[in-house]
Amino acid sequence: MKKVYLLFTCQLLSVGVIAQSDGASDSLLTYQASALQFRQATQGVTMLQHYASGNVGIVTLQGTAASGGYRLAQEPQQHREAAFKSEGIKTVERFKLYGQFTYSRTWDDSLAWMLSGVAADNRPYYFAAGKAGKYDRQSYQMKGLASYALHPGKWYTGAGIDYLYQTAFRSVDPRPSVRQFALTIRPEITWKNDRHWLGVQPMIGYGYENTSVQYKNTQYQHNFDSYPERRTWLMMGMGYMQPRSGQGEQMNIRIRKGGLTLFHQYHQGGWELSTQAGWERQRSFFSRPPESSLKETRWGTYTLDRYQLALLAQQGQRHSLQFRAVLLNGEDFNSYSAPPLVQALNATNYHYQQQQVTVHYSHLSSRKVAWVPGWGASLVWQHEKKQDFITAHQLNYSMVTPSLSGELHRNKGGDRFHTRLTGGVQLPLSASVHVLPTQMTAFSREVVYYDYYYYHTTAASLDWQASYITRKVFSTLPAGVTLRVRYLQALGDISSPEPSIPVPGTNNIWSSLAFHLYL
Amino acid sequence: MRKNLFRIAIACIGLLAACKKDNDTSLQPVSINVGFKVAEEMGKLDISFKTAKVTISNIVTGQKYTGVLDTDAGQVTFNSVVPGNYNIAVSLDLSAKAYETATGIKSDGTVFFSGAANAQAAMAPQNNFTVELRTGSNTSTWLIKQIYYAGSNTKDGALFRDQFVELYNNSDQVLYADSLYLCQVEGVETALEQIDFAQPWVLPTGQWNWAVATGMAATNPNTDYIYAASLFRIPGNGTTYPVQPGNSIIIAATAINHKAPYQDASGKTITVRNPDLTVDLQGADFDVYMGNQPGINPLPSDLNTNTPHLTVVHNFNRDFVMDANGREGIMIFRSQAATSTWKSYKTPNNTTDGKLKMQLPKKDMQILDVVETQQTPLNKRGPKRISLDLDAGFNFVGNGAYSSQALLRKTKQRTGGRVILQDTNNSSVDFITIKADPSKKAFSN
Repeated sequence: MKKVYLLFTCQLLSVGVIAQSDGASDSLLTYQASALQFRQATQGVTMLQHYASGNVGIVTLQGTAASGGYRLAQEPQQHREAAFKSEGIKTVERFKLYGQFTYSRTWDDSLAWMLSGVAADNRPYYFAAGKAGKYDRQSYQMKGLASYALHPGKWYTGAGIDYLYQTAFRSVDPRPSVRQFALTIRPEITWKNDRHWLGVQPMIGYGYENTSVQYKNTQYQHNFDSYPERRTWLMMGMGYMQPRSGQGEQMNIRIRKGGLTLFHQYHQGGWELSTQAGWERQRSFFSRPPESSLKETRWGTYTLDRYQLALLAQQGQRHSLQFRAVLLNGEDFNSYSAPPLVQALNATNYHYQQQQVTVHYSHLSSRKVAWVPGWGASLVWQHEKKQDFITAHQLNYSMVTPSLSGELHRNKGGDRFHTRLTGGVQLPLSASVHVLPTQMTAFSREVVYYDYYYYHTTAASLDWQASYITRKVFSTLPAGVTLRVRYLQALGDISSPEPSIPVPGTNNIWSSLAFHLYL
Repeated sequence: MRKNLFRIAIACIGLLAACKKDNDTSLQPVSINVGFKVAEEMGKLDISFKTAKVTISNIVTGQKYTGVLDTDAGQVTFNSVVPGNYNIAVSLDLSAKAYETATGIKSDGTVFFSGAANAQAAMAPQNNFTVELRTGSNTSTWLIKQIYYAGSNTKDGALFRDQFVELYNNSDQVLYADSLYLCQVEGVETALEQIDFAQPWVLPTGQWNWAVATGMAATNPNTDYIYAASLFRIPGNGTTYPVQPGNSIIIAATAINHKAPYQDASGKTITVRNPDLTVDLQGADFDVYMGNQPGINPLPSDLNTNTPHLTVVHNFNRDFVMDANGREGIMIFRSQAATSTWKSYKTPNNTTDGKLKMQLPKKDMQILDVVETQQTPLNKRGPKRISLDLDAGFNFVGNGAYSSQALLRKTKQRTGGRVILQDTNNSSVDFITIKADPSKKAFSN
């Protein structure tokens, strides 16, 4: 019942924020430049205050389905999602507010080696089992941003708050039950001078996650050799793992976050230049549930640093150039012990590093024609390295993904139609995996090597999106529908010289249908 | 100025980004080196260790590695394994000719040597272990062929009342079962990871420290004696129960057909929901009856059958009950000593309700065979209760308690229609898991 009240309140909050529109809402999802500007405005007070529109709002109901074997090992073979999302911006006197509420329900199938809540976040400590199974997840996500003009035209202040609550369950032994909560607060102070906006946004956050594992079939819960795929493992890195008893097993995770982001906005000669640079540190503490308020058995700590630089240069809707660089550095400190047989390592065992650079350019023609064309190009370079020292596992890859897109826009009688087709190719630049023969386990074969073959493969992608917005459904509100299909196809055979090592499938298809109301 | 401040701030963040974390962890996999020597009691035997097969298995994860020595001497090295505690098992097949050369003793076939070192901690970068090898016993005596300790499903089967042990004449002579002793060896049953090693009644191995048992008067109580939770003896005058070569006897808890309904000792009719899960023990040669033992309230399933009963020398249980989880050591031996002279003691932790355990002097026993079993789940296994010279390893049924599974000794060879069972004195390698079969015709191949 409490969840219903919370849900209702959040919907009211976000709808209240988006009560009246400037008429820009329906362009948000059709023009890439508009979408980027809107997304940027939700990052903080500086960008929100600078954002031209004072009132926009969108309500979306979306269904997503994905299927295919060309994926990472710890991603589901099938994924379906239903989501409700409402967000918008509202200006009231000196206040400018942003609110967002998202509820999603997810059904995943054939997901193995992952018994935690959020999949594939490269966290080193989690429960896992080789047996693939179905997952049900629910997520409530809320975001609010309130800014106030202290001295209009000069000083602004405000704060943002992010709230997340997620649950996950599995219906195949071993059965995890995951509850996750996260709260982040971002106060900000902004200074404006002529063409410059400067903002400083510190951040502090806290999160908590509890995973408990149960078995329905008593045969599976005892770690019998007959059912190795049902054994619950505590993963601590990429390869280092220890068996857990299974039934009634629990893990607590406490997360503390802190960071700083700087914003700069500048306009000159019709160009808007936005810069955002930030650092965030997240520390996660993994442990068994405390036996008492004084005694906690800690298994390990994981520290993840994230550095981000984003540049956006736009000239109206015509030109949009985006540069984004992200660096992630993570390492753990392993203190897991199970005396007398397992001594604590009390040292770093797992290293994680990811670098990603994205460059994207889009251009929309200014010609006055019925079908307005546009095109875009992007290049993504990504490098990732994971290392588990105690088991001598290492996975290293870099890849580049160029893509080209073409789009058409048509406005007629208040109705809008937009379609975009993007073709890209995922090119591996280098991929290497090292696992010593003495350290080979089922996890090494089914996850580490499986992911290596994924990163080692060249793949082509085709992404088609079409959206239609009309006032014919509701005379006072534009309503729209968006259909998107993305197909990924591995080029060439994916095969392993070792028959015991499984390899990814050759294709993956993702599709989404969404209905929107623009307020 | 303000632009400069912003640029400085960006530069600082950039510097942070440029900072590369050194891979400064000292963690790395470890190496395990296993060397060999012949046990002292074997005398000075100059044998080649070439083809010795070494298996190390991580006690916690169960991960196994196997290596073979390809020289006459030296050691087998396992590079880059996860630090932890390992059981090490070694087996060596020596040809009859090589054995005769080394010992001057003729052998009628391959001679097995085996050895083990259990719960060896491998935490340093280089870890060196030496395993003592001993010959297995042999083809000339009784062996424990099958142990059905697991019982059958608690709801649809017979629980633990259908347990049995099968003893086998592995020799080429007629042997007499008369006066054979069957013993359930006492040991600590707590899982290794839950034992409080700080307690005085616990040895560094995790087993009982009998030196601190109340009233202990014997010298070397931990090494010169075996302690029995129960002890039974096959009756007879010496030639009452002959067993032909290659034949077996079955000792049951209760020698009835557990697949069919029966009336228990209280008159209640007992049925089994799924007869396929249990066994028919009507053909058992012996069973155990506790109904005539003073001070014992037998189980309702413990019936006074027409099958000859074992003589109960020492048993505080309400029947012949093996631990369905597998925490057992089963031993058969002969002895000319008067068992009435053997003392009994409470377990060294001296709990109020502790039962007495009989102290069996090794010097008075001709131990024929010993098999240690352990729990199937890795994290529930306790300390080894049988010394390495008697059983270098242990075994367990794949599906655990109440699984209807039994351990069956492997077949070594067939000679003129007679099956010779394998006995390397290492139950880790000598047994396989089968569905319990009291037909006496169960063989691994």
